Amino acid sequence: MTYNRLREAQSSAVQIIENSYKNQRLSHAYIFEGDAGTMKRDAAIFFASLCLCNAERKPCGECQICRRINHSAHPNVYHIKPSKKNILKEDIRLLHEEFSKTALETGPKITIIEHADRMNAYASNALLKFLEEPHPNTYALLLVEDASLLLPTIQSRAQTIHFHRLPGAIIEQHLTTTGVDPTLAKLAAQTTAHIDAAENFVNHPDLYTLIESVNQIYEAFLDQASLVLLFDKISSDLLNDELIVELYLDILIHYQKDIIYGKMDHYTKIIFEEHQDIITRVGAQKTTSMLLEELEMMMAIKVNQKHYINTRLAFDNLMLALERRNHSEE
Amino acid sequence: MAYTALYRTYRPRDFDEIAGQEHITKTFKNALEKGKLSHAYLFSGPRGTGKTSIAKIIAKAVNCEHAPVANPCNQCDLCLGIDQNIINDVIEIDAASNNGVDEIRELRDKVKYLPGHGKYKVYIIDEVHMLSIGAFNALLKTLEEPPKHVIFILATTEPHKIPATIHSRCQRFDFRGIHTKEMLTRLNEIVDKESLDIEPEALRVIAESAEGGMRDAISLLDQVVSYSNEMITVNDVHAIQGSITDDAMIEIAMAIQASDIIKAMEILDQLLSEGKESHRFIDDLIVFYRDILVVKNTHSKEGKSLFEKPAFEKIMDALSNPMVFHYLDILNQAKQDMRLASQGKLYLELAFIKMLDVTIKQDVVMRESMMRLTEKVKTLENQIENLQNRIEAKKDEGQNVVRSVFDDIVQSSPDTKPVVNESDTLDETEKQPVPPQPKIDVPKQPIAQESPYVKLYKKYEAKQYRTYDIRFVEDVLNTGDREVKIEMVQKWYDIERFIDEERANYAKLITDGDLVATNGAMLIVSYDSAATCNRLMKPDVKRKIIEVLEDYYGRKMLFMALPINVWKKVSAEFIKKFRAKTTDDDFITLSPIEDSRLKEIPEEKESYEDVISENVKTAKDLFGDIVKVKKGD
Repeated sequence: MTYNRLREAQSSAVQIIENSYKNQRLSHAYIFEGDAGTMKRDAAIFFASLCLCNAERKPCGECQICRRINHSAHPNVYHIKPSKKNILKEDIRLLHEEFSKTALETGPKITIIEHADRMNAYASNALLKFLEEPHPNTYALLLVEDASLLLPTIQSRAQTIHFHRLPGAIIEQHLTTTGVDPTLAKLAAQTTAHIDAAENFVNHPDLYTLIESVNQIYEAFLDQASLVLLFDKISSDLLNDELIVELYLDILIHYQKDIIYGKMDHYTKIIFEEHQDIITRVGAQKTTSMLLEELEMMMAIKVNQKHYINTRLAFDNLMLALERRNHSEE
Repeated sequence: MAYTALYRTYRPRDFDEIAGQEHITKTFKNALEKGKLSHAYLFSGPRGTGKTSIAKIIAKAVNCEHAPVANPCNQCDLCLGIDQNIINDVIEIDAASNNGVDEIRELRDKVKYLPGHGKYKVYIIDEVHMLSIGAFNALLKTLEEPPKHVIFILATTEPHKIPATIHSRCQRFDFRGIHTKEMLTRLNEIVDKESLDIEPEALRVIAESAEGGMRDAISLLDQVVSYSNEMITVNDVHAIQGSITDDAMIEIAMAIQASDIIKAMEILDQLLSEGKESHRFIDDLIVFYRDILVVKNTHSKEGKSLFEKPAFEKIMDALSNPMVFHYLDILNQAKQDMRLASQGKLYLELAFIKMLDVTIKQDVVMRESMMRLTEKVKTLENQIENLQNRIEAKKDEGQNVVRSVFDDIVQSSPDTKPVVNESDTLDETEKQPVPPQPKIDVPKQPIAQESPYVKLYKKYEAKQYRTYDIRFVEDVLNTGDREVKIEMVQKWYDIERFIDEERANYAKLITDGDLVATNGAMLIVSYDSAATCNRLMKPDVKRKIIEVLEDYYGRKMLFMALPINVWKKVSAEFIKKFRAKTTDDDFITLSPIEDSRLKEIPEEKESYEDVISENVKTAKDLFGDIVKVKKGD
């Protein structure tokens, strides 16, 4: 395992860890904070390997120690994951016990707590003392998506290292270099911060048809046709699959955003450049507040879609909203 | 030896090293010196304010070889031993992991044993709010009357979770968040001791972002030191925190102000690509606008270095309170939405577009200027009232003075004119300075005490007015009472709500018009069309209306409806004549109302003499009661 990708994506986090190690200023507890897919776990393994690896250029990622760490098989590295839904006090008690014993192998002991925000109140408070007066030569790494979900007293006892999402530009560039259509690359970069997810996104077989059907909606609007009826026709292909609905909504949202940007004369931000004509014409027939309202509706559907709403009804409602136009400007 | 975090290395060792909390350290120093320590204390306060530190210092001070002392010597074996956690007279209990009844029972059993080294056994129970209810109750008795050699110190961040019975057995000390200034002093000490290279500004940002928690500040300092190789700059601090620099913030605020979407989006994109998180961004923006609001309204620039930047001031001056509220509403909404969704960036963009949208902004500006207008009108009204009072006072000194003062009012308010023209909602009389009432024999009283108005009513009811009698208007205007009018106008539109459903349509009819003049007993209401007036002035309708008004305002009043154009003409004439008059007691007469659309409606009588013609009346005058009128078919 090499850490090049980690170094590339999270350079400042790696810098903090490496500098601290070099200056022998490693803190006894760290919170790795960042969205899913920001390589927090990789960084935790990097941290452990850095402390334990004996190679000259640490961490080598190839020696036996590094490999064992990578496979969660090193006795000095203690993993805690939520066993069911939460991390319980019992888990933390085991941790206390484990760490009061001397290490099996040389070097420091490292505990990695994944989803640390899922510790319940007892577990968090039990962890507090562990962090306050840690056993010598031990390190705790708390992996969490949002550090503010941890107790404030935990936060102040640990150093928080921030893992940022991959910038859209990097994903876009990565996709275009592999030969993806620039529009799709832009769209993918906007919808996800995962390189893998972005690749999946552009390779989705229905992507082109979906874009086309979104385009149809706005064309129908310009032709003053009924959007509800039009949507009725395409809905059967659409609404059966949750993934497709999400994809469709993503496209719709960014199309709508394009219209808003077009209306504000901010053309460089537009993603669907080939439809610029439609975008400006739709924009001319609506007020900005109407467009914003519609966009909010779309985003609300996207959030609520996971909560068992009547998707069909929500979409019909949206289509009705989309049919409105600003009569004073006609 | 392994590296220990800075905040642990620099845990204060005596009371003088504690940053802030003087109200607590002073109390304890005195208590320690005089040997008047209580047996149980409860420390509460936010994280990193020194609860555990002070508890440990107390433990050292009571056991110190030189006791009683205000500060532990930190040199004797006992002090050093306690610092190194090797003296078992000081027992630190983590209530979070020992929260059961059993643990507390064990504690209770051991309490009675004498201390081994020092004079006191000090129990420091940290995170005490995590004890179970059973455990709390088990502790109660021990806490109430512990052996002489025991001191309990309970520390918690959440005092409200502690039972009242525990509270009342302890002396409670509330720890405050540490002030930025005090924090800076302490941080500077650490920087000196560690000989670190750090920009003063960076230190300041650290102190500010710690929000009162000393440990947070030192942790952050520790982290920044690890992050940067040489000189520590402000940017390092921001990079670690993922927060946004003041300059970037100002740049964004400027772009939003100028509704420059291209610039704003550029900055947004750039910041996000640098790895700033969108939810963090929103938080920072909210804090920024909150700061603007605070500094703008309190005029105190203390607290943050940001406040002293000229650009900040510029933004602050250009923003009005309602606009800031508007921004904050948008941002708060976005923050809330973001919590549920995975694509924070989208909401951030949406919030930006909303904040940049010119038409929405205009709405806010409109509302705001309306507010300012009303305020201006109000101050003008007050001014006029003051002047009126002065006129009253000077009435005896000669009429000329009065006139010149009144002319002054008219001339001194030219700046209101353009403003007033913008708004159509203000009614006509508000525009003109309302003439002072010459005959203010009406004392200023709330409407409820009706005697003066009843008198007025009786006086004028006797006069038989014709339907659109100019004498009515003359009487109202000459005896007009501004205060009553304002009071009545304020309630005017509520008539509909207070009148029962049966007569709701009358109430609606009334409030369709504007109350333009009144003296408390008579009112003139203006309507858009003459036809409405004709309808309202029909005797049966008029009677109903007077009834409704009586029910609502609590007294009988005479009522006249006038079309708005007629009213304008009449009031203009009145004002002209009012300015021209020589003495206060002049009764101003006006030219009669002429409008072809207004119909004179004959007054009805309720008796069988429905219509008394002029002839019959003369006959009655001449012959008295013997006149009998026969109704023709």
